[in-house]
Amino acid sequence: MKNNYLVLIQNKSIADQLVQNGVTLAYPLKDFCVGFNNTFLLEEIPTDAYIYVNRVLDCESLDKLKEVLKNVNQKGIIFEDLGVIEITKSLSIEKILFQNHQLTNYESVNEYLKYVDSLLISTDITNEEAKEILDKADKKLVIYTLGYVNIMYSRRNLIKNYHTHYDLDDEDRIDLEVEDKKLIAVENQYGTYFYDSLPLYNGLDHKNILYKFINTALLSDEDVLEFIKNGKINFETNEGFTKTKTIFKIKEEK
Amino acid sequence: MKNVELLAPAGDLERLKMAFHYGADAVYLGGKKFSLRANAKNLTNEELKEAAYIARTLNKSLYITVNILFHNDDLEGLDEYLKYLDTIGITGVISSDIVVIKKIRELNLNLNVVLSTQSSTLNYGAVMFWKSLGVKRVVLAREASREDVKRIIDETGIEVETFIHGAMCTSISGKCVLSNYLTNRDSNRGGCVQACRWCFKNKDNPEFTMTSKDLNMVSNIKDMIELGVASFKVEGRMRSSYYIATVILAYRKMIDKVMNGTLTEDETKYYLNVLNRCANRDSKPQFYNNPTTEEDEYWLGRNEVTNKDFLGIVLDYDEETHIATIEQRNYFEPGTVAQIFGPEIDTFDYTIGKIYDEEMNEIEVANHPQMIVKLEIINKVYKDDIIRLKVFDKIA
Repeated sequence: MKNNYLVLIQNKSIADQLVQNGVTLAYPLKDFCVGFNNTFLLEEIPTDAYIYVNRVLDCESLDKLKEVLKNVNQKGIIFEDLGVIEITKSLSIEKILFQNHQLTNYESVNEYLKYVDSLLISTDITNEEAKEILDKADKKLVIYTLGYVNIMYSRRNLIKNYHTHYDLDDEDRIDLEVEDKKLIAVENQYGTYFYDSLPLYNGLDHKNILYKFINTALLSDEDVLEFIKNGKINFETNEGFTKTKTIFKIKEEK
Repeated sequence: MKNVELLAPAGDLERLKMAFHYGADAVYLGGKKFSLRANAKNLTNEELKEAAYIARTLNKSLYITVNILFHNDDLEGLDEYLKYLDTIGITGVISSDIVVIKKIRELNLNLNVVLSTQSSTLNYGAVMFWKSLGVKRVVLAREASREDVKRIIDETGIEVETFIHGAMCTSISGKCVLSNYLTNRDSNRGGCVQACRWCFKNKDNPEFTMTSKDLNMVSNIKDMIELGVASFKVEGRMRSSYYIATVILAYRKMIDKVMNGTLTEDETKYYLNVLNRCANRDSKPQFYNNPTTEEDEYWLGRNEVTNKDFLGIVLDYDEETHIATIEQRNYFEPGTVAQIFGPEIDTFDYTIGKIYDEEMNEIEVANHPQMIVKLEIINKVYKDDIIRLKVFDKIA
């Protein structure tokens, strides 16, 4: 019953059930991620799983990651920062690049694929654009199938600063409204991560998909299991930008 | 100490000339295509050619931004554009999308690539990746600490460019699609609406903005030169000529004084006041020395009103009569206490006396934008010197 779901998990207690249902797992690595409630030490991550690192790393953090990865025996690493390519050159693990907003055209995708085994294409493009990238990619790619999508990543501790400024009780997560839209902000010492208020669901399929990525951050275990076991989504989702082209010149609106 | 390049923004040819005139060693600007700030005026291909000619004539540098993140359809015309830029004699292109580097290599062009801050580069490993692709210079993320700057210079040997002044993104640059989400305008292709400066609600708690104060590196210039930073970059391709003249001249003077060891603490304070007043925002060194705190952000209750300091610009000066011809920019009248500054003069205080029209008829006030008036100014002034409202005492 092997499938090509790659599930970034938050709760280890559902890991066995997910694996039994043919899923490949990824674990956010402690001290090298933003936007998660739970992260894991390297030794807690199974050898058949991927390590997930989504921080933009400063020099000292890259040193620390290099040190941690001396003991790596996991399947591979999914990462945001290009410095990881440099420090993993000698490691025989799979490398999957996930620069969330950067990987938006097929030429760039193929150029990056010279240095990594696969990559996760941007959630900021339409499915038409994604299909063209998948058609033309030199290797199989990962697509974002289900989960809350990041829309801003700040190195600032915006929630902590807000609470300090207004003398409010500290929280790691706040729900925000701006104009008629909602956002969720999650924070740790490394920065603040903003998610869309509804998880994305993208049913795109293609022969050149290596994995369909599911980010379980902010999702319930029950919802994740129900989707994996039965393909059912019992919660509200949105289409993100999969069907809507963004514009960038005001005259295009007229 | 190794000399450092002062790199100014420009939104058009007028501002390019102003930036060079006020002491910039280099200017960066965008063409009509493939450039962030898609809704700025930007330059036609012919104007880019002229800009390159002006820069070469002055023995200065010119960088063109080709810094959007390309979608599939945007790739159309990129080859031709890069080939064109290769023919007009620019110093380099500023890019963050790897496709630009790929194309330059494939087309065998002689364009230097400066990696844009949109690539969020904060460590030596990422720099080595880009260097291996042929990138000559890296603009570090504005989140870079002093330690990051030092280590990247020491451990990679690449040319490092850092922002020293101007507006900051709340997000790490390149890691934000808030604008896409809220307005459907793509921030990574030049459509950013600066939604981080909007008002956010959090249930029953106080509303707030996430607006960052501006960046200034006034107190760190000497340190950064000593670290070996190759280029000091000023943000603001959509800023006015007045802003560019004021900011570039302030940093020009400070850099030159650092280089010859004469910059005083009082002068530093003065320039900082001038810079903050010019942008009408507070500015801080942000991430350079310490992590940012609530003090680095603006909260609610801030009303951003443009000041009227820019009174006029000198068009001509008659040394015999001491009569200066001025193009008015904001209201002034006899008795208005002003300062005059420019690249070839020491800033001096000047109380406006009688005002004359173009035929030397005395008039009561200068109250029409861009009206031409004449003033008697005893101290010699030059074309393109600027008259501003006096707000701070000049430190001698």
